[in-house]
Amino acid sequence: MSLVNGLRPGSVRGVMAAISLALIPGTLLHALQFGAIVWLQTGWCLLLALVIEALCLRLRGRPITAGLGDLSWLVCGLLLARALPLLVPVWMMALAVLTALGLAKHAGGGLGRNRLNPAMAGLAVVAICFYQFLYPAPDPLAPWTAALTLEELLLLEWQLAPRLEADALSGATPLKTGLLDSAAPYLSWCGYLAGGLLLALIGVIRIEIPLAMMASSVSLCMLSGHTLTESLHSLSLGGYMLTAFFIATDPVTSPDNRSARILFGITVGVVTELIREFGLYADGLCFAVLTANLLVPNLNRVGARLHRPWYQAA
Amino acid sequence: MLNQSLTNPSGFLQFFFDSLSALVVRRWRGGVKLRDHKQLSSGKAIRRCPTPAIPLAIPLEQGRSRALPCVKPGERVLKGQVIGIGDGRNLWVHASTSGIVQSIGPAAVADRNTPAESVFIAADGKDEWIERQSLAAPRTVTELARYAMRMGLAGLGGAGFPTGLKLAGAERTDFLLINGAECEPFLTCDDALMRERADTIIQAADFLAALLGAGRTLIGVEGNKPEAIAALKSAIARAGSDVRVKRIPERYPAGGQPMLVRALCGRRLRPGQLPGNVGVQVLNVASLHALGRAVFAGEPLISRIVTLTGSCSHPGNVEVPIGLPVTQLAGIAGAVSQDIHVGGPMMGRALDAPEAVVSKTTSCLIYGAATWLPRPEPAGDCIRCNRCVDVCPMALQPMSLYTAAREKQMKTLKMMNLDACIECGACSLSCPARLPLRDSFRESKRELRQ
Repeated sequence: MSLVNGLRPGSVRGVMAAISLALIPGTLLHALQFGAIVWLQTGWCLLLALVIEALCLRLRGRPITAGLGDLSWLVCGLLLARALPLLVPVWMMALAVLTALGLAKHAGGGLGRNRLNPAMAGLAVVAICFYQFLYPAPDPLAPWTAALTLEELLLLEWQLAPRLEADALSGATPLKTGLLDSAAPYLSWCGYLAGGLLLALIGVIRIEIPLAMMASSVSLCMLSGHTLTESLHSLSLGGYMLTAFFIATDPVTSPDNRSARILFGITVGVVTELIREFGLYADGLCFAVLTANLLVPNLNRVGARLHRPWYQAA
Repeated sequence: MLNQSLTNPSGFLQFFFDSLSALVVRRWRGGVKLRDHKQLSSGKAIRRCPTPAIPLAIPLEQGRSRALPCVKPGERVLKGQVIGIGDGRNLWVHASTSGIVQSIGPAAVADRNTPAESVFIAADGKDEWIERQSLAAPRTVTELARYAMRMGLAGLGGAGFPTGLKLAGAERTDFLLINGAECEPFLTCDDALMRERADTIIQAADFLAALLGAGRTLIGVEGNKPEAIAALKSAIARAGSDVRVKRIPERYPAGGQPMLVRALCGRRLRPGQLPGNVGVQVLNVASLHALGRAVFAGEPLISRIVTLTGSCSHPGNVEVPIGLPVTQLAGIAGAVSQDIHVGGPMMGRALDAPEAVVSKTTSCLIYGAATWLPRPEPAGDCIRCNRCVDVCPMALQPMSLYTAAREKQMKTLKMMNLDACIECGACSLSCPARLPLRDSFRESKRELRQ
């Protein structure tokens, strides 16, 4: 029987299971908007994550059942499935998962020792190498993916059918296309917000990271001439909420003390906003998170200087 | 004392701050909220344990203190008779019942890793007291310290540090703090003592405070013991004493020395400092009660209150003679389980020798440990969740310390203040990867000291 009071999961497996459960509402809303492709992609990513995690554990000579038992592959698979653009071919998902688990996580020292967020590293490789698959993304106002049958989806994912040329968004960033004027184009953000707040409530994630991130994004967005409503609206675009509550809060790749975590959140928010405003990419979240990940040791040092034990006189 | 401090301006300021500190409970960071399971054994009166005609083994060793035996096999001893001679640093040891000395040799002790040199006494069941010496009450702290050593008074809160040694080191004392926190789950022995013997506790507190010249006496009790607080308050009212009872938040390790000192009087006890260095004396309630019995009734420390709890039909608190085998307590508790944990779940250990005996620091027996305590699980990988950092009451970085301890980086360990660790185990308990944080720190601290 556990001695600790409270709802906080007491094991690594419990933590990972809680995160996976909290991802469900967002994924559900996303699937509601974009159709079966979301579930299909989630399935592929989970399968690939399971196989590749087992393979990596085998190669490293680690016990496979114990390694799979911590469910970190489940979280990584779910996050990648949602972070990758819809309708990417299966081999590209495999590449992303391989980068995430094989390179970022296991080659980086295994669970708990990686510097970079695995899911974001996987996404970054796909985003840099296969830019054309990211755009045009399915328009949230007219999600054509929802109309496709399962057979069509499978053919597209295995690249047996020619790629659809949809007249959706151009590659321009959403801040420039006037997307901000319309009412909530994406649905999933409410799901991620709810799931993330729940996780923060039971003490699985640190709320200061998403808060700092959102605050810095919004203030920077307003500084660049957008109204408050528009700035707040930009938080619902793309994978912002997913990143804020589920990716930037990854304990392994975020700092060790509160002040450093706030600085970390601010970094992610600022870089995201800069990419969204001036960059080539519409979303830029993965690059923002990776940048902040690399800064973690420095942020830790800055934070440690601000922190003073209570027994040392002020 | 009061007049002295009021004569100069800085003394007046100090007096003002001390008065303010005595009124509020200060916060400290860290700690864990635990399921306390105290309702299992609280609520019933303290039972007396009969001394049947069986062999007892009274340990001569207690912590680092070691007494020399002064009885021979075949000799008849009476309850309260000296059987082990101590000195300025070692506690004297007394027979806890009457009987014939059988032998002197090592015996397993419930809350000790290694067997302790003990006097085996075949109890005759008569429980005959030796004529109690009516010694004059000690009139100075030095006298009291010597007296406490002669009466075998060990700290009953956990470590068993001789009370006499603690008092002998006392310098200027502004605050006398009485630790009634009992923050360990399952334990209710101090709770029961405060409920039933509050008068002796308050009387002893007044006596000690007068001797030490302590301006203020404060008793810290965790908020989950309202009956104990009420009992203490009514005892204070009866005695017309100016002891104050303070309710402290229920958070492990609220009874840890630095936390208690901070919460009760606001002074900061830095790592390496003793309470005496900051003008404070800290005594556990049970130790204070034993001191009271020794001074007012001439009774040496030959029994203690043990909480029997867990999977048993008659849980509760029992006053047990020192040296009684724990197997005798199973009958009183109505327990059949052989799976016993000694002490609280945080600081205690599993009972590995079933024939072990009760010592002065055996506070609790938890029967059916596997069903009540967290299962030991293999260590996983640290996911840097920072919970250990959050709960560390000494504001350390257990996560980084663990890495350094595993790689034996002694310099780093020293730099990161490993010495400040009070080994409370809050980090190990809250680690989702089940890393043996406390155990590794304990070992590294030992290595650092060498």
